Amino acid sequence: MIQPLAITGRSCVSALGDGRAALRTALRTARSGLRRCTLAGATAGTWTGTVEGLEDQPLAGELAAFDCRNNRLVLRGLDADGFAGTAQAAVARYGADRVGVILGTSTSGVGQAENAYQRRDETGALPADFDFAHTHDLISLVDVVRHVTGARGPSYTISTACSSSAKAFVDGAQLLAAGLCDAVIVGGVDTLCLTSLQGFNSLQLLSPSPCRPMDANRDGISIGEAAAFALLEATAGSLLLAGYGESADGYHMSSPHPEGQGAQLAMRAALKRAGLDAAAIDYVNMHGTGSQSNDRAEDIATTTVFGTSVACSATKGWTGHTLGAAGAVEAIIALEALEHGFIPGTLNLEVADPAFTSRIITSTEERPLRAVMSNNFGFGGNNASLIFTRGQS
Amino acid sequence: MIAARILGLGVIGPGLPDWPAARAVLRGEVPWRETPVDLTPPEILSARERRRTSPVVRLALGVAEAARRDSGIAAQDLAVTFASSIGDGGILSAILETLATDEKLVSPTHFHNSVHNAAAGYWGIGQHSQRPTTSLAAGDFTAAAALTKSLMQCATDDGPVLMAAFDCPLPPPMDVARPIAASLGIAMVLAPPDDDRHGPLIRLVGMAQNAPPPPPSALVPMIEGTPAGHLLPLLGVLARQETMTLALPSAPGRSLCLEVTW
Repeated sequence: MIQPLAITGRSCVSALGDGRAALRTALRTARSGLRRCTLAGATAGTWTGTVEGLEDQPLAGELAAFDCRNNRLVLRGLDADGFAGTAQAAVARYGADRVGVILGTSTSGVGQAENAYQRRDETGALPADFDFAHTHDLISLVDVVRHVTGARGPSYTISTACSSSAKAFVDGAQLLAAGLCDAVIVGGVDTLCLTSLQGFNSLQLLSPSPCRPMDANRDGISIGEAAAFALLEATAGSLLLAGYGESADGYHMSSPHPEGQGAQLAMRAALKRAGLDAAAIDYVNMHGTGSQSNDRAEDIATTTVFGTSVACSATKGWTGHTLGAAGAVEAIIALEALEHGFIPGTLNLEVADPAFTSRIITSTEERPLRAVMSNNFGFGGNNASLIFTRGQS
Repeated sequence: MIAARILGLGVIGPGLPDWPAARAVLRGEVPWRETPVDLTPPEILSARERRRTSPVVRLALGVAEAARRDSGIAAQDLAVTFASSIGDGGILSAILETLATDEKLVSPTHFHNSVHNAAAGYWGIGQHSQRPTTSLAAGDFTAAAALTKSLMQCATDDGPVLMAAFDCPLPPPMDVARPIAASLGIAMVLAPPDDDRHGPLIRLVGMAQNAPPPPPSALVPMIEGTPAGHLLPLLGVLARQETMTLALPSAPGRSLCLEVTW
């Protein structure tokens, strides 16, 4: 892959608050963003990571047609950490056609369709105010970002469930390597909706308590919402995307390979592309959802590749599983760890699964890091592994 | 230089049951007749999985496998780009109907199959392949996005890529909110330009210097009314073995410009 490839801007908005400083504080003070779910219509008894205030922030003016919960969160993400300004500066520097936008999402603005179905008329027709193209369509979040930043380069949405926004980093790297862009806005946005909550509930994958990744008594996931963005440029910088790896599980539609074979392939491919041995990785941010079978498969896959000494943790106890945004959120967490020198712990872990052999860090540790891996494994689907390193500024 | 050799093609659409039939229509040898799209359950899946596949999955796997077979390349040697603006509209609509009831008891099978990358998941399982796949969407411009992704991946990975763009119309009442004129899938296998296998070369260029002759008028609704339809003019150039540049809409007011040479 092209070297160097720097992350020259980034932002994150989640249940932990707006901006990376809030994220770091929460990670260092073991303060979870999970609360009892209050989404109207959702089956009671689950915990979610909600972003405060979206109900009161409709999009207006030129963006009014895009108004929906997901696009409101897009805007919050662009406003955080000065990201919109950073992206606009790249557009001014390189030209609009040379800045691409690749984002991940699982449900985009489906909430508008959910609402429209509840307002069907006596013939079954949807209300005239339902604007699919600007809200529900998978591309709408990309269109909002293009609108706000002025970027007009290659742009699309990747929707591969849990790996979506990690794969956005991969495609961003490919656009730069191919010379099709000079900068790429990558990231992901997903919001709470009945489709996800009722859907995961029907699969009996939701925990009745805050999720407990890697815990012996883990009993399901907690869904979260988030927006996370990064700007990638083929320049030197202090934080680099050193490598990436991808695979498909190719095993079974709903359960992981017991040893996480696909996950192993993705991790090894990332190490190879980065030109690094496993021993060079100081910290692995696991996908770690709190699901019985997925966490087990991931533990085996991780120790098969790394052995039992690399520090690992799973951070979804803080943000919840942000689905299409998870890859980008957890990449941002990995980058915060790398830049500020700390390893986040694993929230809500009381008793580690005795069968596990990964070295799972439970409380946040301060330690300088040189290379960090962030993994997102869509068991039954697509796997993505990203490696970030420190570079010269 | 972003370029690739086209080693295989697949088409499934109304009156275009496969690439040889589509080629004859695009060459003007036979008139287009609106025969219904035949979405046979995909052979690559087990009998039980096959039975449960939705029209979109059948379209995706059918057209992808047709292009793969045409190329002669094993699935394990192909990275994959699946591109659909909607994904599974039938399942999506069923879920939305359920969510509008008091009980909101979503079918687990429906939710499981509603992910945008379900078709790609079935491809990997049916083909016993762990090669990476991407499932992307770009609204009306999904075809150009698919081609951009596939061309660049061919270059950065230095290996062949299977690309399939497909959409089926949504059932009512969503059909009014997002019209799709017909079920249409178009797939191609792209390989790095120095691949020794024989095939036309497509290259991204700065501007389209000329334009292909207009397609048969009967195909215009499909070209303009389905995201994958944007690829039909390119297929026309390939069918007639023309050396040509052409534009593929990639964003409002913008196009990908492609040069085809032999």
